[in-house]
Amino acid sequence: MTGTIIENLSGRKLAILVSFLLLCQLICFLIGGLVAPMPANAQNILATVCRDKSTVKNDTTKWYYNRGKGSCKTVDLGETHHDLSETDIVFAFQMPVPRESKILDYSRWQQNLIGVLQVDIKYHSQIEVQPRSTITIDARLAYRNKGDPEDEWKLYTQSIEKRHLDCDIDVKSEEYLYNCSAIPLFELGSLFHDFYLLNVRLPVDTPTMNSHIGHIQDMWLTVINQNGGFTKVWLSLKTVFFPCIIAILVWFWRRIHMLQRKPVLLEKMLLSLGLALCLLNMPIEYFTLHFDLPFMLLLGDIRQGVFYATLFSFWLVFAGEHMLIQDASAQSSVKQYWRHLSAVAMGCISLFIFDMCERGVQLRNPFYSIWVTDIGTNLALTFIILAGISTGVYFLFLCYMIWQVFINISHKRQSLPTMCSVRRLHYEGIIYRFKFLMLATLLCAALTVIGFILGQVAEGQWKWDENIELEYTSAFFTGVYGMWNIYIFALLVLYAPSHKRWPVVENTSDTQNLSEEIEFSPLPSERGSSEISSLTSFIRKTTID
Amino acid sequence: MFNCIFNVLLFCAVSIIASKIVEGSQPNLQKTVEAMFSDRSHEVHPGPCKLLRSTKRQVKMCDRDTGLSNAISIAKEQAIAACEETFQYDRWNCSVVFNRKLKRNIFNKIYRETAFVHALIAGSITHSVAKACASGDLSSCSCVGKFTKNNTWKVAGCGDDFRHGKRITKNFLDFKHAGNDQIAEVLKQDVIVGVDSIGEQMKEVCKCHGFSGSCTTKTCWKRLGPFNSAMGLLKKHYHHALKKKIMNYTTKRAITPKVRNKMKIDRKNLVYLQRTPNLCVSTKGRVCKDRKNCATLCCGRGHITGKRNVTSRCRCRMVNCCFVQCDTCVEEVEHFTCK
Repeated sequence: MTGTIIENLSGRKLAILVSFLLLCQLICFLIGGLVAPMPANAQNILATVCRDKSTVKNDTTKWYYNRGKGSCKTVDLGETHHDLSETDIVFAFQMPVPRESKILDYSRWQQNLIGVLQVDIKYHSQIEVQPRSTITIDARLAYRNKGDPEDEWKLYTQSIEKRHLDCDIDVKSEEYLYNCSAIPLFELGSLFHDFYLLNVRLPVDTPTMNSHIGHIQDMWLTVINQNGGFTKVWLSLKTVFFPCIIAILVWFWRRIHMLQRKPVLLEKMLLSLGLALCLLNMPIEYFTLHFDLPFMLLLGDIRQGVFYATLFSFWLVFAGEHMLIQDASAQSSVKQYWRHLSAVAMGCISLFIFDMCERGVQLRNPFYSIWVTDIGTNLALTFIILAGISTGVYFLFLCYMIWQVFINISHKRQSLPTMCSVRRLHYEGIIYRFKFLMLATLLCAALTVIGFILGQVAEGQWKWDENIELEYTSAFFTGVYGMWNIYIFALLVLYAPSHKRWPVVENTSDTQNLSEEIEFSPLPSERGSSEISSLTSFIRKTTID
Repeated sequence: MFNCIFNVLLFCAVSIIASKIVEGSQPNLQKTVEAMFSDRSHEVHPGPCKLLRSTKRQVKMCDRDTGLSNAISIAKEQAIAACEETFQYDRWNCSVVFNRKLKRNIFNKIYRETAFVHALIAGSITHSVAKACASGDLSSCSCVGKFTKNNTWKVAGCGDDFRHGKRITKNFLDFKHAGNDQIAEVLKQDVIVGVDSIGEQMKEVCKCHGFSGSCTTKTCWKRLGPFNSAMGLLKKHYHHALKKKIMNYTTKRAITPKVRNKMKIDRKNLVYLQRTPNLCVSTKGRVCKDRKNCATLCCGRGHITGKRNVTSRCRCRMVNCCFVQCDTCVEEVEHFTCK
């Protein structure tokens, strides 16, 4: 009769293991806080207003920019120009802007580029901006690489987009500016080239197009990219975690195969959880350094989604497996949990559809946004609300199941004093360790939530000391990422079947974990039955008692 | 009797020396602000800074980055234009001299107006430099992120432009070498108030770009506000400026730490040392806005109400997306002039 390692592990060894894992956790947190810079960087770029003298405006080989050879002729929007028409005006954003007298270029380590447009609109008593008016933008994005001639910009993508413009004003006074909301403009999943150039035009093809947006004085573009330093730290963490989790998975699966029985549901779930984590850990971002992979944002979402789905399903099964005591004779399978798991599936599918509608379409058109049209907004909201409801239902299920497990345990506990002392000690240990793991799960979840809330409240940076500055946002990300890796690592180790009373296998280094344990004398009725989780067997035994 | 005359003579001598100190050996901070504010012409001076007779340090700065001279000239024009517009109906109308007397220059002493002008120029330079950084016209903008580590742009990104504007302003005005006597301390504080008024106008904007576009990752940045709203704030500061007692006017001795600490308490206010002379003499013939404004501007002398045909812009509309086109309307409006 064997159980899992956690049941047979002595308190001292458990303490050593836990403190080792906590140390790893602390290291993860500190790496993010002390080594990594902020996760993302934002750069504000003020538009240069260029004059487009060409007669053919659809020409995508003609680009306007303010620095370098062939830069454009600028226009001052404050003055009146009678010789200009709307198609002659181009707002040019050349990125990145120079710093420290050097021409900067993007590095592939910076991973992605997100553009947010902000418009400065002057107040005129006669031309007031109507609330929730629509702005039509003709946006063209070009790229250039190091070594290319300075005037050789190549078209990356182009699109005519509509965006909502929400403006209000506190002081209704001439020359004051409206307070306009930021307009998300584009998202590039890969930052493959060195320089980018955005040309924005405001077409007036129909009489109502762009007619209620007031007097534009300036246009700002804020480009957000992941920081190269953060990517490096993040990727190194992945590179370390990936083989660790793979190794522990192999070890776990070999242990199970050494048993004479088939793997039980909980073990299968643990295996799939480990595989999902491996998928998340896989450092495929290395490929972006050599190939243009615009789908990385979407893929990242999918990997995270798969991991969350597996983790949530695991918790359900974990709670359920410790409750299904009445019909323990039947080998439990995932099918029994279809009602509970459908909530998880529902949430994941709706989030996936939403993501495909937003980021999936952005693969073809980086300027696309689902939130612009009313149908799109409703569709997106529907899927997000569906996902929200599913999450709510899931947590209700989970809480109910955990509550039942605890009720079951406290029931059985009452019959504990009638048992013999050795067995009682052991049972108490099992209950304690089961609760301990429940506690660990709760702690991890709570820490994630608290960390997230703290990050929202606090400024991005904390100061402990004059010399030590902690980059909190990065520390939160690496800390949480490390925590779930360590959590699953611990689950795989502690819930692997124990080989006690088996012939000792020399090549597994973990046998030392099993050296000291409490002698356990099984009931004769169970001698023939295969190894099942001893917690369920304990509960069954008490019914015999 | 003789003693009395001697005393008067001594006093005169001390006063003359004192005023010489203010006028003569001014630190660059005062000199630059005065040059930028007083020179309303568009004269181009030789040297890389073009617009003002610059010090060695400033020449070096303008030389290093060709965009700086342009940013400084924008700063000057925007400061003067904003000042003249805001103080259109005030007793002091942003003139360099009080009561149209050439000798009564606002830079002779530290008046309320002098304090304001220092803040105004400092704020304006900060604003235009920050803007020039954002447009890429100024290439020397620093890249120091929130961290002071030796991180490059590719590793840790760049800090905001306001921070750089502040630094350039302090460098350009030679803040460090302004001295540490009382006048210098007062002016330094005024400069800081001016720079901070730009910082206070900055608005934080955030964008979520985490898992599925949710706010698991959120990036925030500060957005530079328009200069005229900072101007409104500065005008408030002008009205709430604090007068300080002159402590050691005649000597260039550094002020004691005790006094410095006392000054730190009201760091947020403009400070000045001398009371502004009565400006009522010069408001004759000035145009005032309405009856209430006339009462203050005309110092109780009353005003003449006249009617005048005013041509103004009306029926404005946007043409060609980005330009305002207005008709000119002729309207008969009441207008008030001080007696």
